[in-house]
Amino acid sequence: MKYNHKHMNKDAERWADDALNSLDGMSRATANPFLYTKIVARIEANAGGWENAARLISRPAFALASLAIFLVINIAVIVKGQQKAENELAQKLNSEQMLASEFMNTQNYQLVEIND
Amino acid sequence: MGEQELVELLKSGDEAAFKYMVTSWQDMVYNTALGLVQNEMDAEDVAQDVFVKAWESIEGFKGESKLSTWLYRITVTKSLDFLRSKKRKKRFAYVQSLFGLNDELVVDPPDFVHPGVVSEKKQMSVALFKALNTLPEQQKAAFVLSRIEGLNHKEVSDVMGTTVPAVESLLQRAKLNLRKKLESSYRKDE
Repeated sequence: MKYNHKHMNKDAERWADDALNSLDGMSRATANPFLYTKIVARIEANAGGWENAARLISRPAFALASLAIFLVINIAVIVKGQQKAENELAQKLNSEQMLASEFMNTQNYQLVEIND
Repeated sequence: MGEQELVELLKSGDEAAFKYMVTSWQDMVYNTALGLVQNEMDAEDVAQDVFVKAWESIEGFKGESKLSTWLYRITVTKSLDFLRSKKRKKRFAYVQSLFGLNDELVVDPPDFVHPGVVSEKKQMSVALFKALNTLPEQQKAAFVLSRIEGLNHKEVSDVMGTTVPAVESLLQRAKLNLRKKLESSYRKDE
C-alpha cells in the first residue's frame, strides 16, 4: 500500500513534468490572412455613430470641459442671486422710506386741521 | 522602415504604415491572445481589438518602449478584459438559470489544443492549458509571454510594467501552482 502510494506520487510528478515540458519546441500560431481587412472594416464601422460619442465622452478633455461649464453656470447663478437679493433689499428700503414720508405727510395734515 | 519613422507615419494616419504594422505583428498579437483566451475565434476578435486600439491611440505612444512591447501590453490587457467579461457573462447566465430565466445550458468549452504544439505533445499540453486557466491573471500572463511567446524575463517585465525579480517570482509561483494542479488532476484520473 505504502509502495503503491509512493509509486503513484512518482508517476504524478513525472506526468506533471511531461505536461510542463509539452510546450517545448512549439511554434507560433498564425493569424487569419484576412485579419487586416477585418480590422479596417471594424475601424470604418467605428468611425460613426455611438462609438464616437462614447469615445468623446470618455476623454479627459470632455470631462474637464463639462466641469468648467458646470462651474460657470454655478457662479452665474450665485452672482445673479446676489444681485437679485441686493435689488430686493434696495426696493424694500425704498418702499419703507416712501411709507415713512407718507406718514410724515399725514401727521402734518392732521396738525393743519387742528390749527383750523 | 525604422521604428521611429513608422510611428511618425502612423501618427499622421498613413494607412500603408498601418498595414505594415498589422502584417508585421499580427502573428505575435494573435499567438499571445490565443495563449491567454484559449479559443481561436476569441483570439482573432481580441487581435482585431488590439490593432483597432493601436490605430486609435497611436497619438499617445511616446516611444518610451518598443512598438512591439506596446502591442504586447495592449494584447495582454485586451485578453484579460475579454476573459473577465466572459466570466461575468457565464456567472450571469448561471444565476439566470437558477431562477429559470435562461433555459440554455451553460456548456464547458472543449479542450484547447494550441496549433503550434508539436503533435506528439498535444495531448499533454491539453492538461497544461487547462491548469493554466486556473492561475491568477498576472501569473498566467507572465507564463504565456515567457513560455508561449518565448520572451526573456526583461522583455516580460517591460510588457507587464514590473521588475525582472517580480517576473521571476511570478513565473516561479506559476510553475509551482501548475505542478500542483497537474499532479492533483493526475491522481483524480487514476
